[in-house]
Amino acid sequence: MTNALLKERTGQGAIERIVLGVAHELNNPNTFIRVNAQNLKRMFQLLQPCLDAYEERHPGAKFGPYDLPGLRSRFNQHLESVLEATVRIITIADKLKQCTAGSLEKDTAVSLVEVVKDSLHAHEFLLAGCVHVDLAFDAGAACQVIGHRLLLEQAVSILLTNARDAIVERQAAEGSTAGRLDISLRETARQVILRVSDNGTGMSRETLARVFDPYFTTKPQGAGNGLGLPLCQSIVHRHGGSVRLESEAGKGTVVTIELPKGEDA
Amino acid sequence: MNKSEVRILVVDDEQDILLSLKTHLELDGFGVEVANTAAEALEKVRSGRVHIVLTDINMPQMDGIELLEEIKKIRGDITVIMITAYSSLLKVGNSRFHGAADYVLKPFREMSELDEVIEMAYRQIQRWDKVLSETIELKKKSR
Repeated sequence: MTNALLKERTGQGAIERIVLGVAHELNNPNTFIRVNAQNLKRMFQLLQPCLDAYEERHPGAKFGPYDLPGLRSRFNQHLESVLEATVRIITIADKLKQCTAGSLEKDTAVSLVEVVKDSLHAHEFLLAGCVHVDLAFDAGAACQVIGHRLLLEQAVSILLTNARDAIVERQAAEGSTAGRLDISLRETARQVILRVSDNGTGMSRETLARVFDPYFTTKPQGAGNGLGLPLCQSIVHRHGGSVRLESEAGKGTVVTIELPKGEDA
Repeated sequence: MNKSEVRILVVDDEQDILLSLKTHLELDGFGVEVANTAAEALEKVRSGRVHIVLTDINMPQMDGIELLEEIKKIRGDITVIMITAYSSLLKVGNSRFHGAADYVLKPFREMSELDEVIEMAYRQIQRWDKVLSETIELKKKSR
């Protein structure tokens, strides 16, 4: 189904509604994960006197690979990391909601350098370990556009996620290929040009022809909803720009986004 | 009145949330009951002593606001606290005009917010309870 057809069938704002729904569905289970992690933490606190007494009676006792102090500290670490993750989910859901509200907000001058840096920061934990990231931009060039910052961040985040998935897929198929993600930003007289290049699996011509079709995905079941690139494209179009993809199966993909350069209002 | 004597009824259509909140409030020292639907909650309000109702706003069949109205018809002194997601803020605002005492936003970004709201409700119950026991004392003396 093409973008135009999707809009015709579901009306304007279909993607925004889906995104809002996703944000809501994320928060619901997150609520009880969060409260339960807190409950477990407090219950574990209640057990402390019991554990202290046991430790005194059986110094050096082993529980699997751990002694009791080791086990206690691991238990706490894991609970803290669950709690931290729930805060991250809240932040993600908030960002999604802000994105959908975005179409109503006024546009401002936005530095694409900042947008890319923020998106990279948000994806640090996903990219770490599998990808070497190189970010190049002219020092002094603000690469400024007029638009909605969170929407632009969403568009860049989609590209980063896709690149990462393609790299991981190639690494899984070929063994340890060194993942590379090259991001460059430059300005011309009228445009700001963002180029995101990865050495992941790449795509065939047939796949490439369909990447902007909503719900089309090559990712494994459950991993992709086929709305990433259509959403990215609709955000770029909203800002008066264009997205172009070049790809070769087995070599990688280059995504180029061109946006009109914006001056301060 | 100490905490263990205070009965809190938690109402939510999601079982997992009910259980997590029940444990949380029990660890705080309160007596806790749960209800999966507004109808079940009304049954419990009618048949037993409930001091605080903590209810979700968005529920199928009867929602939290309707439940609030029904509870207030049965007993005006029950403290009703609304739980809601950010997307239902308008409904929370409306609930105030139907007698809701307070609200808490899901997904509890700050866990302390829930604790503070419950603690506040508890302190109010204690204050009203004090008035009641002092009145009873006075009556006894005057006899």
